[in-house]
Amino acid sequence: MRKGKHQPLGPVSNILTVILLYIILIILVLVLARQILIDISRGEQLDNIYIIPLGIVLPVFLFGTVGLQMIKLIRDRRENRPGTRFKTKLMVFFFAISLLASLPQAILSLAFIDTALHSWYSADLGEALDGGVEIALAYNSQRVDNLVNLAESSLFYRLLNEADYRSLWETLQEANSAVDSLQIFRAFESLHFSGDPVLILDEPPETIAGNGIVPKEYLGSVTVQRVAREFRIEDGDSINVVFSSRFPDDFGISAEKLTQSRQSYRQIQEYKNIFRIILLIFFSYFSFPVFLLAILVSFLLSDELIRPIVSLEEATRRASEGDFSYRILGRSRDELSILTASFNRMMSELENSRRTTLQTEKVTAWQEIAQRLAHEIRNPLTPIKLSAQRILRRYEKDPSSIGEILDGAVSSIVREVENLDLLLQEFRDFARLPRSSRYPVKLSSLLDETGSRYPSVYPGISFDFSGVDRDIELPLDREQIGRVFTNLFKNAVEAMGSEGKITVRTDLVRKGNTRYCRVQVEDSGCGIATENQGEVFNPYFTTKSHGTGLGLPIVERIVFDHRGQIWFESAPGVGTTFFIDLPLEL
Amino acid sequence: MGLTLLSQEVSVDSVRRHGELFLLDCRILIDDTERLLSSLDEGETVMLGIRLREASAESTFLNPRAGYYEYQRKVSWDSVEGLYVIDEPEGRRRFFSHKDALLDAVQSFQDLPIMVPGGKHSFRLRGEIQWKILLPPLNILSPFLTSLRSAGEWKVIEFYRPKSKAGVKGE
Repeated sequence: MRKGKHQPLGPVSNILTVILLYIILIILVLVLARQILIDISRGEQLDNIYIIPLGIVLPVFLFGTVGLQMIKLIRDRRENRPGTRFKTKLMVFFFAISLLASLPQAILSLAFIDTALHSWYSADLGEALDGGVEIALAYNSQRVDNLVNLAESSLFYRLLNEADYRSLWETLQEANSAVDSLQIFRAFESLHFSGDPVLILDEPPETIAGNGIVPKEYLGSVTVQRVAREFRIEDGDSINVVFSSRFPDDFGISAEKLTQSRQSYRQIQEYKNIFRIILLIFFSYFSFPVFLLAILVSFLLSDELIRPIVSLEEATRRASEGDFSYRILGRSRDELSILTASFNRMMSELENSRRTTLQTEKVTAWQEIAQRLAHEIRNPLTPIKLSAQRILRRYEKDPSSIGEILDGAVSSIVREVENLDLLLQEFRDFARLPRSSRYPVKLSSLLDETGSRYPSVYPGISFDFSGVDRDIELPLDREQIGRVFTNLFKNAVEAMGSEGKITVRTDLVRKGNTRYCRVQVEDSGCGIATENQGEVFNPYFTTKSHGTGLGLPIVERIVFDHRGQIWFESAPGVGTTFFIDLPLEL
Repeated sequence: MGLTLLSQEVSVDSVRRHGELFLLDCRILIDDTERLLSSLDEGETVMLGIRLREASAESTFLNPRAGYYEYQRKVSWDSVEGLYVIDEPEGRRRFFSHKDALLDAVQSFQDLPIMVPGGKHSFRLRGEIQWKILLPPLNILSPFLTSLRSAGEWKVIEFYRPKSKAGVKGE
């Protein structure tokens, strides 16, 4: 008992392949994310150029694998391999599901990106940012100008010389409430401080412009603007006066954020098109391999799904060809495995039944042959017996005149014995037909060779081989098939008498998955009587006086041994055509 | 988006040994100072950096920056202060009102510490400028906008040379 052939991948291998591919994909995505996205998000150049080919390898590998699977599927479909149509349907189904699942996600992601970009490009936002920066600058300028103007005012210089420092601060606060502290240094020594204690300095600050402006200080959330000015007082000493103004809390941080936002907004305006393209490329770069992997998985899954169905188809095809020994290996425990088990059981029962039938047929056939053989042997025995008795009687009554009948009686005995010998010879041929050994044979040369024997013996008979494909080669036992054509030509010649035409033609035909060469042998003879048409292939059936009735059974047997078929069409008075289908492959 | 890179050469003023460390003074020789100033005036932030690399350091797949040292500073125009400002990596801010003073401060890198593994006798050095720092999320465009970056050739800096004079030679 033979089992179904092994497939390249089992279910476990398929699952392992899918898991392996998935793990590789995840690892590569992580590596790429680490090596590329981190660098890119920092705004740095890609130092590892070899990362890029690595990133291309995966999509190319997946694309190549999917492409190969597609080509294989198309090729199998063209060759009508079992299960390819069902596999194509499954593939279209899986592809549609993958597309339906990924398309909305892709559209959503792209729409999200586009919406986000659109909101960044909003003109209102740009104007608001510009306005915010201008307000901040105006506020800052006002506070700075206030301090500078105060430091440069003649009023302050007069107060500095006339009043003590405490009175000076009180007067200053009444005149200008925007000043939050006043500190006076002589060289690096602090002489006086009034105002908010947070703003006190250990030493005079470093100015960066001629008007005494000091860069802002950030003391936690407090932003301080100072103006330092050197004064020469009346006693000739030089003092350094520092005016400080405290900005609202977080003014500096807010101003910095505002400036950065405006800078970012300008950059987005400048690069919006390339930014959109790069985002799309990155999205495709990471999502396309996932889509390809889904397609690849669907190939593996469809293989797994159709395998039992393909096995069933193969088994039924073999059963239809008479091979009941084929069995299907079941791996799973699903409904299909129940079906295959039932099929295997059915095949076993069919095989047993056929064995019994064959045994019965064999016995019946031998009984029939024995009866027919006995009958055929008995037929010549009667004239032999009669001739012998006739010689004996004449010898007993009148031995001198025995010569008158001896020649005729002995000739009859010899003729009947020869007929008997011929009968036994053909019977032996029929019973012991050697096993056919097939090699590629050019059919046209075999027909030419067989047909060439007749014109010299039957000059009135013509052969027409013009419809024979001169190039066709078939796996044949040359001797046996030659015997087939000899028998058919002999029958045709005998059916036509002295004149007639035998036409031979070949065609290619397909039955199921097998291709055949169909050979037609047509004669213009008397045809086969309708009542005899059902018996021409039965052993010992003949309408000829000298025939044995084994010619066409031998022809049928040889064609059957070649896995071919033979049949005929005949019209009495018009002619007979025999059709032989011989397979193109072994 | 062009592919032309400007050359940012580096000159080495001195290499001094302090125990296990070497201290390096060097300057980036900026070709296009006008471009730098115009970028700053347009409100852009510019990054200048010195990249040091051990001469024999080999980058690997998982550690592409093996043996690297980077010292980078950002330069920008502070529109609130009305001054140029240099942000050093340690958080220090320096303000400048004059362009000449700014350029001098921007180009000069002082006392850069280098830890050299035992047995090594040289390292490599180059200057880099990113003419416009793209802010998030646009910073993913930086590798694709190569015209925004320029870098000089690597130069080999050798120590332990005869007469203890730091030498520079083109690679």
